[in-house]
Amino acid sequence: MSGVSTAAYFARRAAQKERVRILYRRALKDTLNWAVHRHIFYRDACDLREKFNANQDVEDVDRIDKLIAHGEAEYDKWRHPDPYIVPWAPGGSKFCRNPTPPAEIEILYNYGHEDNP
Amino acid sequence: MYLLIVFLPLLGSSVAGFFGRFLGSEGSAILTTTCVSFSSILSLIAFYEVAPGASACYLRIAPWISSEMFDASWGFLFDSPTVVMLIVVTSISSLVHLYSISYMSEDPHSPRFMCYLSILTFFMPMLVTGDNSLQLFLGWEGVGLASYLLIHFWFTRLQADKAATKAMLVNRVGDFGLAPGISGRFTLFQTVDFSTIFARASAPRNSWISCNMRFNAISLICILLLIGAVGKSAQIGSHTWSPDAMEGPTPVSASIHAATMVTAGVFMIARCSPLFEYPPTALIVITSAGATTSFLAATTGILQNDLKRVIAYSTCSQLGYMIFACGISNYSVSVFHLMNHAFFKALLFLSAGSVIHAMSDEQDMRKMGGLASSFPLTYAMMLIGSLSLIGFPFLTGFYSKDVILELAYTKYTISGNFAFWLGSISVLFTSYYSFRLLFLTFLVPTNSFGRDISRCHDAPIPMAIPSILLALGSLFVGYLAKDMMIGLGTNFWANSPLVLPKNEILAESEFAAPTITKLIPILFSTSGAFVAYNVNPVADQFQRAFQTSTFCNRLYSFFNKRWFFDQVLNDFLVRSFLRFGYEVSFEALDKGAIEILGPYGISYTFRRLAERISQLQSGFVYHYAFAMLLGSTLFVTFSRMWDSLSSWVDNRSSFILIVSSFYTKSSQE
Repeated sequence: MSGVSTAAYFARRAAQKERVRILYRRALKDTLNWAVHRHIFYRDACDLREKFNANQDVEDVDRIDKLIAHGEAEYDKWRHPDPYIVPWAPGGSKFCRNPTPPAEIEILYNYGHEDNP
Repeated sequence: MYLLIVFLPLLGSSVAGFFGRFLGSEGSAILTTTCVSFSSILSLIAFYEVAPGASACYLRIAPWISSEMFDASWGFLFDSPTVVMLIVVTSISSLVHLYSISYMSEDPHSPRFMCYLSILTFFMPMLVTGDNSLQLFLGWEGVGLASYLLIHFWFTRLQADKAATKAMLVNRVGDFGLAPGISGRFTLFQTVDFSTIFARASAPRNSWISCNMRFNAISLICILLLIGAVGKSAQIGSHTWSPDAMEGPTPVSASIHAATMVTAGVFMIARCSPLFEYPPTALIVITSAGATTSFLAATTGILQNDLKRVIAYSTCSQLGYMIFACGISNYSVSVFHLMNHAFFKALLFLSAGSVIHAMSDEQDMRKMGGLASSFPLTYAMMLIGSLSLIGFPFLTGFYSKDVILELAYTKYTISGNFAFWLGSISVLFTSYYSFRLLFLTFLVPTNSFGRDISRCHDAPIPMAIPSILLALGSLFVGYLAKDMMIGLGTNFWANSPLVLPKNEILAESEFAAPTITKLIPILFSTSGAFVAYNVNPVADQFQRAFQTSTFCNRLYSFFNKRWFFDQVLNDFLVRSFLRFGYEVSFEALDKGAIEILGPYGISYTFRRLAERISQLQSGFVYHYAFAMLLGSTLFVTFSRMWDSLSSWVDNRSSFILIVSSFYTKSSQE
């Protein structure tokens, strides 16, 4: 019985760690969307890290859940309306531009000049 | 020679389109560029003959539609506004063709691209040389089609598909105003020919009184034509397609959205100036629309992060200037600004294309910076274009933009003052976003990725030459052409843009306007540059405000998301119209009508008829007796009383009654 509850506790803590990790990565990328210049970004990234580090010693799982929910709400509130997306990623300016044709299709690149490659 | 100006690009487009596979990328590019370049050279000769030579040319080729009163022919009119537009269109297009040879060299579909560029260069001259509304409308639709094809060039991208469809549909909304305007002109004047309409423009007195207001026919027609111009020239309400159109390749933006297609609306208003001069209401509406657009677009541009979107909004804003210049009855200044704007805006787009091409197709300004030392030529071109755009003294933009603002003030009307102040504030924002673009792209320490910086290079020769030529235009064309085009007492325009004497204010603005009105644009430009310097390279407190203050955050979202125009239009208009278009007009009417009147409908109807008729055989004798009695009674009645009844009874109604009786629901069902 205690083994089951311990496993449940550790599973919950692992899920919380994953949520915190994802939240931190997204918040850091969003900070870069706002802070265009590096000197501003470094300062804001440090502030963000300090906010996360301030709660790193909390052990109560319910309080951790509340802190994560609060953090996610803050992230949603201040999220950048026009985030940077790498050009070739989905949503980027170059995504799906001239994609590679399927392998099944035969393409003649030298139509009419097959004898002269 | 005159017809070659119009048809050479069509020849290049047809050959590149149908035989591009055999010509290859280089062959198609060389052929189309050559055709358009020849067209450009011929348009210079035509300009010399028509404008300074003061001999307009009118070619009537063949009848097109000749149906009793409606008579439209294939006619080509080359007068001063036309040849100015031809020079702008063909020269910018030929430079863009040359630029595209290098820009699109790595794209496997380059022949198709050159074909589409040339088809645009065919339809735009068709629009500007048309001597009747129908031919103008043909060119109008053609440039809309070309715009769709070019934005849709990378058709494997979903965003490009959406943007192209949006451009086509929003233009179609504008055409929904233009087509009734043309029909209204035909109703009033019984012709679509421009010469006849403009000769009799002052005559119509038709009006309609409703709710204690008088609506003049000529006012309504001009407002309908304005709706067409609003759709084509990306004015407020129909501007949403313009930034999304940046999905197309950069040469497309330079050609269509700087110099060619978007100016069609302005040209149409300038061409129809004899019509627009008479209703003052329409002029006030035009002024207000243009001024509001210039303000809206400028405020949206200040917080965009995509390089091309900033320039797209700048185009929108400058088109607003042109439209409100028409609204204050200064069509010549509007066309002059159109010409100047074409040069520096195309320069900005081509320079942006050089930057994007060099930075591995990176378009976000937040990932650029420090590129002035990497691309000195491109930086110089961008700087020249930006300085010209903001109206830096004695560059091209200065001679048209500041004149427009002075004229707006000197109108001494509410709408004129409204336009002046909105235009002046737009100057501040224009200067801000222009310098923001320069700072973020070229001057601040680099924020880009190492992979882009390591591969970056300045523009190759085929991309540099058009930029240099456009830079020369951005520097000198304004000074060289100002006296010819907007100088006092110039006879350059002959009688083409008509300005009524009561609306003529050029001399007043030149000599009697207070000096402060001439200085305000320069002061605002300088302050915009100053604010841009403090906000962008420095940026600490402003950037922090967007992340800590709810008001600033919402303001940022409001301007970045284009005043939420797209969301509002999509939620309240687009969805309901799409639903109507599918459920009602397609499913119920088009498909529904075919199903009712087609093979399925006929077979269904006859099957139902047979079922209903078979129900008459109920098997009960008293039913048959009743039917016989009813039939004989009706027969006797009608045969005896036919003489008196025949004038009241329509034979066709009895047929309808009989047929409808088979569709009434019976109690057994």
